[in-house]
Amino acid sequence: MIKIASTISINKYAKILFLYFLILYVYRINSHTLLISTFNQPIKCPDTDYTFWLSHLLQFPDYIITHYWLCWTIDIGVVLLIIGCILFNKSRYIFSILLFIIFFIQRITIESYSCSHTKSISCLFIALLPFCFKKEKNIELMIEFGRYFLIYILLISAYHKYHYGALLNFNNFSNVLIHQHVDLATLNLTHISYRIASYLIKNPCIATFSFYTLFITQVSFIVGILTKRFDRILFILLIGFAIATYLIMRIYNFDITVLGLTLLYFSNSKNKV
Amino acid sequence: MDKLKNLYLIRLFKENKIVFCFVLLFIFFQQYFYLKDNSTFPWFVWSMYSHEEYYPEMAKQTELFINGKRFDISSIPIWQEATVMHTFEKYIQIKKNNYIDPMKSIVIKRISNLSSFSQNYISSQIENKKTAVIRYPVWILSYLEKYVYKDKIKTIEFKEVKYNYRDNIFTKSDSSQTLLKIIA
Repeated sequence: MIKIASTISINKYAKILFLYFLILYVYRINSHTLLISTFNQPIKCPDTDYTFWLSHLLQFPDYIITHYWLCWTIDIGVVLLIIGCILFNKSRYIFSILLFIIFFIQRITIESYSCSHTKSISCLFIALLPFCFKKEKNIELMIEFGRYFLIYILLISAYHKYHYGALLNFNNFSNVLIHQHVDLATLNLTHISYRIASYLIKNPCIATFSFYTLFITQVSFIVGILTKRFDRILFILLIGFAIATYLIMRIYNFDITVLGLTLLYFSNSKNKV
Repeated sequence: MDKLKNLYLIRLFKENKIVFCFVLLFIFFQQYFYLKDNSTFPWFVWSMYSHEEYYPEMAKQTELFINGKRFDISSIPIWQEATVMHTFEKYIQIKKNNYIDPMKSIVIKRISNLSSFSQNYISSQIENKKTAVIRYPVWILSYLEKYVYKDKIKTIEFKEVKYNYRDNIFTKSDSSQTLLKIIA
């Protein structure tokens, strides 16, 4: 049997991943995306999501959001658990399981009470999952699962661009940008996102070219199903995609790049199948 | 044959049957929710910006005014912006609906086969009640004061403003409507 052994040790990979996770969490703290900031918000928003429904049926988001010190404890608990995952190699799986549970409780409560369901948050959980296992073999298999999940997300996104017609409508992307930036167009014309968007709106050919580039970037992940040889290139494309969508669309896609680290893990494999 | 043996799912099956079942279950639910067109965490399908978008003749947006001056919502982090705007949208949606949560129809549709006891319990946990919704203006005032404006606020106003769009320029139309005004 062919063994897929990475030259990066699992410990080193875990440290990189949790450090990156911590950096993104600091960004969340800076954005006040915490329970403590959402404390006592009275309107819940489970939408049609069954996981949110189940959570509200168990009543934990409703209980947490109305208890100040519990909000504090969970917010700080997440930071301490991430640090625990970075520092303690041997007991990392215990810290990871706790982090998985506490972070899940925190996100469900915040997202329900801030009425903002960020889909890409799933990527953080899939990226965390491998470290909830103790055996190295299981960890590696789950990292690989994360890698395939990432490829699936990007490919299905590319497919939808074709299926729902965005790809075939020539002026589509410049129209998307007009709708996306009404607030900036009426208030903050000097904002970097609006300056880029404005240029693309005025030049629909370049806008369409950018959209096709995005589509090709997503489609290129199909290579990842066949081989791991180009994982490093795919990782660079993913980072480029996250930065570009943040600058042009003001959409935060950095949670997906955490899962993108799985590409770096296998790009160092001795045997890239 | 060697290539087949090296497929991820086959390797997974050989290494760990429990994890294999977990992954299969995950794939099953991913496909199930995809076919149902339902986004349920942690399964998700990306289809944003995949639909055809048409050139707008006009645009409508909710604007926030603090102490009588329009607040630059793009100056705060995007998640904070989402918290302010999305919670307000939900509030106004329920308020306009006579304080009946629009989720009610979805809840009824989903749970119509259950016993009346279960129906009552589920709807009481999923839908927002009027007593909770009317507390929102006090919360948003304190949130904006503490985390967004970071100074004393005398008035907050959410307005629905319409714009006409022509030659890459948005011009304000005459009609704008105050959706909520809070005086501290």
